[in-house]
Amino acid sequence: MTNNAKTSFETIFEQFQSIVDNTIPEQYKPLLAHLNEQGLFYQQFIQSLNNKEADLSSFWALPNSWGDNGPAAEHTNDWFKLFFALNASSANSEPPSIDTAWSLFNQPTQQTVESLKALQRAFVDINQLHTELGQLALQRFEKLQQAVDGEPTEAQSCKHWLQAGEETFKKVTQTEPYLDAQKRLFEALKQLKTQQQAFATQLSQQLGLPSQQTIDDLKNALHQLRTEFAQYKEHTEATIHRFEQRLKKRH
Amino acid sequence: MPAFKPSNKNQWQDDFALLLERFKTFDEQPDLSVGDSQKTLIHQENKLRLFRYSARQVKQKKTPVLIVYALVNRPYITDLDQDRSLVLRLLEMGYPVYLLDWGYPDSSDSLTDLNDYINGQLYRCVQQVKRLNQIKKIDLLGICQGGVFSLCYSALHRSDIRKLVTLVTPVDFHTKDNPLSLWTQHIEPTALINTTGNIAGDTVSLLFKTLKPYQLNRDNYRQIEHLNKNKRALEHFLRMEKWLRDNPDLAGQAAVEFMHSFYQQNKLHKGQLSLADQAVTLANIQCPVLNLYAKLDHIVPPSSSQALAQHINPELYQEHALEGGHIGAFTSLKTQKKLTSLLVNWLS
Repeated sequence: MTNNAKTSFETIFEQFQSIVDNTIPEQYKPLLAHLNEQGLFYQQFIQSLNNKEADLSSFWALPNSWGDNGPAAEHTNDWFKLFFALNASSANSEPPSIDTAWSLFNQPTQQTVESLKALQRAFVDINQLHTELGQLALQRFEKLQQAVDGEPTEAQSCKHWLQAGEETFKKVTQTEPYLDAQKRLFEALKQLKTQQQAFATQLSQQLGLPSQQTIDDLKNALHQLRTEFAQYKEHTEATIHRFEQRLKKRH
Repeated sequence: MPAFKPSNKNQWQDDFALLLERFKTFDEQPDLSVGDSQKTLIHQENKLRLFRYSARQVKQKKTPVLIVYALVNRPYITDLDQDRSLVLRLLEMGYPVYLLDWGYPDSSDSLTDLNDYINGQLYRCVQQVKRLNQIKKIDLLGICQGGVFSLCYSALHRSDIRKLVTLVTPVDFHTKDNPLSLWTQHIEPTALINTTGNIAGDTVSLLFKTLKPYQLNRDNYRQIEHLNKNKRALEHFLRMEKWLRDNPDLAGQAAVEFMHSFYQQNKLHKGQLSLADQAVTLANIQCPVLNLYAKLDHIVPPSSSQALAQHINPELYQEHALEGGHIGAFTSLKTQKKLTSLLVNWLS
């Protein structure tokens, strides 16, 4: 994707925002913004084909397929965002460096450092596989384009983009290296979470705040109470119903 | 790069400009309301709500149908609009229809487990429907994960269910053509749990979209010309979008249990599942079972659903394929006629 194209598409996006902001009811805005973003993606793709750009592999970059943040953004970190969205209430679009993550911990343990390193290694491996995916998809796309009698149309090219992407994605994501990197990523995340919890427990003790265990106990008690109440209510209603049926029979 | 034949005009941009015009004037604006069929709340328990739909002016059938949807996404997909409503089609045929809405779990629900959902909440809903209709057995229609819950329920509470319908329901989670299963083998589900103790709905949505990332994230939005020509098509498109973005969080405990027991260990199919120390054996199901699967289902491949045949007495079992994908199988106008006809013939 060229910088010129990006600027021009960003202008279109701004124009769209201004129309939407001024005249369209709130409930439609997110849907239209999403639609607009997808349209701009295809326009960029078509323009790059028109310009005969040699490397179109970024159009299969997976993070670009998640995007919700604008038409031409290079969402290189969105895959990572998914994993961090699991762990935090607000997702960070940048992969946290070890230094940044350290600041979350007062005195990072060796275990924490190891987990963060493992997380980064897995993330780098997955990103590498995603880059390869883009290149493989491009090769497949070129073959599909060449197989067409005459010049492929825009519609055919878009269809080939999809076919190349889905086929390659399926192939790459079912390979051992991908599954292994994914597994390592989740394991590292789990370890990190365990260490975060230990840290939070330590901190809550120091600050005199309720510990996670206390909160979990309360949640458990509330859960039990709700269940018992629902069971009691059901039992009562069933008993009343049985009495009503008996009374009806008698009369 | 191969030769490419560029178009003279930017069709998409023209179509989108036209579409925006439609949204500017009040009279033209599409209606985004969903799940609008008239219904009454008959039972509420924490976040769960049980609804009874208002009957149509047709001869009423005796046995009510309780629809059980998945914990993922919202159950109003069964009543998306007048044209695409499984609920309305059943009401038109005279069936008393009930819908179980699991609601939106919050952090206080993170300890809700599968036993709570199946032997607790679903059990109490079934009893409510039985009492309201003065009947000993009801019909259960489970969709996707709701179908799994319905199967477990029917195996454990045999005296409650007259007939069972499972729609796009996974049974064997380890069939070869199941990418979701392959991925989840390598995911430690507890790592998905966020600070609320639950799994964020957006995360689940993202995982599902990852099954076909280019199609689901991009290609579905490539052609919009037809949306300008047909207001109903536009409204349907927008309602589906609304539904797709409406993702409740999953109660952490139940979600982890589901992933471990079903996706990773395939316990239901292997006959190793138990809930509150009670074995869940599908062969124990003694009611007739209609199993409907979608030919193009990328979330629950046909082979996963069809595995149910291995467990149910053949005399009690029927299965049929529906055209379309996981959701299209019961929302598409093309499949609705066949689906309704299959349901009515079988339930009658």
